[in-house]
Amino acid sequence: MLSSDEILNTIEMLKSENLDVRTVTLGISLRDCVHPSLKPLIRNVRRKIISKAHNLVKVCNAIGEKYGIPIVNKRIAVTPIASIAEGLKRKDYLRFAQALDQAVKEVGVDFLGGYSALVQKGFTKGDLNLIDSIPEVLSQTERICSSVNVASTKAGINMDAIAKMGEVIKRTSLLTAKRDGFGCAKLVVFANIPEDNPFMAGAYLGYGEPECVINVGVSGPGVVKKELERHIQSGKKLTLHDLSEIIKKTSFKVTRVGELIAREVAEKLGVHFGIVDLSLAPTPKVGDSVGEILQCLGLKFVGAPGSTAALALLNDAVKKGGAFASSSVGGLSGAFIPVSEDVNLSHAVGKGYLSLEKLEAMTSVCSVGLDMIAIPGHVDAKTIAAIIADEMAIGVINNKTTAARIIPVPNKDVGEKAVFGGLFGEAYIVAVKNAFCSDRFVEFGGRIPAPINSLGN
Amino acid sequence: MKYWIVITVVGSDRPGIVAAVSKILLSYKCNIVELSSTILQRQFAMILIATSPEKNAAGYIQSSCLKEKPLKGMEIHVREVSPHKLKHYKQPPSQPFIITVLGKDRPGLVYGVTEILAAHRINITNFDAKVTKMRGKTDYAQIYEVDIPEKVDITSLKKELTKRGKKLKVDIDLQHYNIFRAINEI
Repeated sequence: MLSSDEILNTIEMLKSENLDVRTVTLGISLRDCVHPSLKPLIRNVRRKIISKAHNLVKVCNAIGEKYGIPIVNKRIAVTPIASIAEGLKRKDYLRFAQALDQAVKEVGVDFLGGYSALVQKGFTKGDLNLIDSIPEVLSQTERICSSVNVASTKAGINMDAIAKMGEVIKRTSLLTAKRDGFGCAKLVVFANIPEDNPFMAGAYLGYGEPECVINVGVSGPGVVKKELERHIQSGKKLTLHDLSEIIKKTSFKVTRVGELIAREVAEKLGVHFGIVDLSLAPTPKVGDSVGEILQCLGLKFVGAPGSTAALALLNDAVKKGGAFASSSVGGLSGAFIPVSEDVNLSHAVGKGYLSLEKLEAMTSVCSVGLDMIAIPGHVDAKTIAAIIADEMAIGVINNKTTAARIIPVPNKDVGEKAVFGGLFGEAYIVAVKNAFCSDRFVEFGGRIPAPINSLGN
Repeated sequence: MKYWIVITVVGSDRPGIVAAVSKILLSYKCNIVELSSTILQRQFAMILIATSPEKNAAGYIQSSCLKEKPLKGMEIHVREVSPHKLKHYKQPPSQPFIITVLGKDRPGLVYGVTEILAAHRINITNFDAKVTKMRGKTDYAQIYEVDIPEKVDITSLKKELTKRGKKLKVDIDLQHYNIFRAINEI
């Protein structure tokens, strides 16, 4: 039996704090669609996507309405396309991606993740073709997202892949120069990529996943911030331990709502329920920012000394609350710090409080990594590759996922702003210190060996 | 053979009311099956259902209650009912929801909401109204637990309640019961 206080507190949480389910992502295996010729491959993939996802938006909207909690994004993740399109000729990749884009448009979904390759140890022919095609695909499709896993704790860091990704990012940026290099916002380079991540742009359906599965991304930086503010304003003396408890309890509630809704979506679609990813994913809206939570924890601005410790507290408390709420937690699960998508972080960069180096340090204690970071357009491919290598090393050595979504903004420099629009937001361009100094390191190529896991200091 | 009795007791709250009623029921060899009580601003109210081995025990129980000192001044009604009247209201296939009304107290709030519920054949299974502190200020809150027949369109019902809320200058929200369970129950 619920008490009236529990009911009223829940109503307050739902109403005034904009609780939503950030994304419901339908994973679809395309392994049975493989064909060496373009036309039959397109036909098979189209048929599969439309048959599995035609009801996704309708079902999500109906369930969101039933529970009064909107499901903001409905998305699709597929088997890495590098393996599905392995038999195609290089010239066919763009046409295949455009057909995917069209199928996704027809089912009313805004993004498909999985234009991906897993190359932590080396490349197949298909991997090379796919990576080479990324710039043209991201510039000539609307809904396709791409990710490339270049490192893992088991395999080490594929520096040849990282060098290629530096080039790919530069080319993608130039091909989408009119939109401030927006194509790069749909491209993530990973270490230890999770197989069940529902969040774009890094979602894909891993080889160990079922035929069809619903994974859900719950969010709620706004809810966490409001809860913290409410307790802090009560005047009660609170320690960081108490604040961690508040975050943990809030994360529990948010996760419960996400799981309830995701299970119902999965049941209605007749597919497996996979995982809840309990990430705090900010949006450019004021009040929906991870940076604002860090300020609630007593920092004048993000980037100030203490930012890494505060983020570590937040990330850990979110995981603990979520893990208690659900036995099916997966994906990235933690706090995201995508600069352009978080109004507070973007502002901190603009004011010079938050540097690339501090962001890198912060990524060692949160999920994902250097995310949605706009850099000057003149920074070269090798410097970008070296930045990625640093970020991958943090993930590989610490046995965690890290990623880099870096956007060189053509013809713009530090102090200017890149504007991507919508959920992608806008970001001040961050300075890249010591650029053009890592060429030799990147040119060595090869693979940085997998780390030793004992002697862990 | 069992005979079913319904007893209602209303009056100023004080210690000993439940003990006095249950003592009398025991003396008539009655068994209490279900009981619910509440206190609103010092007014105590109780409804209980009991079974008696004797027919026509209700009148004797009522007389005994009126003579019992701790029950002096209480309004007490005892009546025998046929078992079929105790069966639950047969609800069409429904989903459980909670409706909350928050705002300044004024006459007509309960009717304003229940008029809509009755028109849609929505059954109230629990109803609570109280003064509470929300969003830093004191508000009047009503909480309705309701069963909404599946044929009722939730979106249009929500719109109807929101419109009524605007007219009555209160916030009316409708949420599925499962959300409250998910968030509050471990």
